[in-house]
Amino acid sequence: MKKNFPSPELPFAYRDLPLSGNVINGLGESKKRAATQIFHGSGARELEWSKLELFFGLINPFKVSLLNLINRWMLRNADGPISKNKRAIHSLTAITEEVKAIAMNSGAGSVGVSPMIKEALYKEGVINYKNAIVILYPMDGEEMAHVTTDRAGTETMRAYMEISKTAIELSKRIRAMGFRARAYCEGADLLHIPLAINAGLGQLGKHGSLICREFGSSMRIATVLTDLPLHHDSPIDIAVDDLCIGCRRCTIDCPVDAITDQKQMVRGDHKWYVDFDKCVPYFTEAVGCGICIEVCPWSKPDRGFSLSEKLLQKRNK
Amino acid sequence: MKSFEEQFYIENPTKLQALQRDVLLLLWLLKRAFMWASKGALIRLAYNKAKTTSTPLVIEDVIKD
Repeated sequence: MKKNFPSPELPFAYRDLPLSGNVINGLGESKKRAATQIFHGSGARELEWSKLELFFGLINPFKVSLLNLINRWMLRNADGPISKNKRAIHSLTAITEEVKAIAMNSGAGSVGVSPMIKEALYKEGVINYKNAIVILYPMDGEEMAHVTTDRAGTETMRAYMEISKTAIELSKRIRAMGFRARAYCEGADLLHIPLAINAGLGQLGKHGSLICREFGSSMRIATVLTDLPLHHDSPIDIAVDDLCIGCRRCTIDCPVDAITDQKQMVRGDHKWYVDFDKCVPYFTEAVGCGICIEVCPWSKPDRGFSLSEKLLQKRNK
Repeated sequence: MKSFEEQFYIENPTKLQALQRDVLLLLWLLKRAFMWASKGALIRLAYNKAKTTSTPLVIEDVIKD
């Protein structure tokens, strides 16, 4: 079923193609190395595919662009003053529960804690924090059913703004306890997915996005990095691979066939990988696309927990 | 070139540093808004024209170094 999505024949082209994103990403490389930024540099940093990113920003509809600018303005509070009165931490479990409760009460849909890991950093990235609090925020399914239109693009930006508010508030509350904390949202400098997986929030899906039981892939991720001592969550197995291996919804519905049915070797890891050179130009044309996220069976409301349970039961038979 | 975070995130800033950052960020955002409204309008026109014809818009022609 290929719905009325924009044509895979793009109305724009490069005269001289930039270096392949798949090469930059290390597709086929068996040696481990850090990721390199290619796109999504927040319009601040010059990257190999920056021209396309700027083009994307300029053809975006008014509302999407406006929300993006408002979000950027809010993000000035992602870091800030740290209280001089450092709070004594007597129990890691208690403080972790307290921090998670702050995030949930500030609008988060799900929260997990991971130690800071090098996989979350780009090449030459230096971020000196001990812990990462990863937050998920669900997108509205009714709005996201209109993927590739302005309506879904606006919902995506709205979700980014909401998760920014949550992460900013959480970082502010931690700084008030006397510890360093910085919120990373709509991120350029941090890879959120490895942290989310390590924080036990979900697993990587065939479409290259995080899949969690609560919202499938229909959510946004933000992270608060901090030195506040916290209890770490553990990665979980919700049986994503059990479904992804046999399911072909995203591979069939992707208009440019960017999603493959086999895992690939990428920088020393055998994992699901989306063809960057096919995906990102179409993403640009289709107001941020999101088709694979929307059609994913995990993204159907209230389905994730029962789906995971059934798949795990089937595996254990 | 510095990233957005490197440019505008300040750990434990003084009031003056925070004010300076706010002014710089505001200018950065206004520049982007102006670009969307001016250059962006021309690009969107050309892009819509490209959609109705079979001639693709060349990225390098509209986004210069």
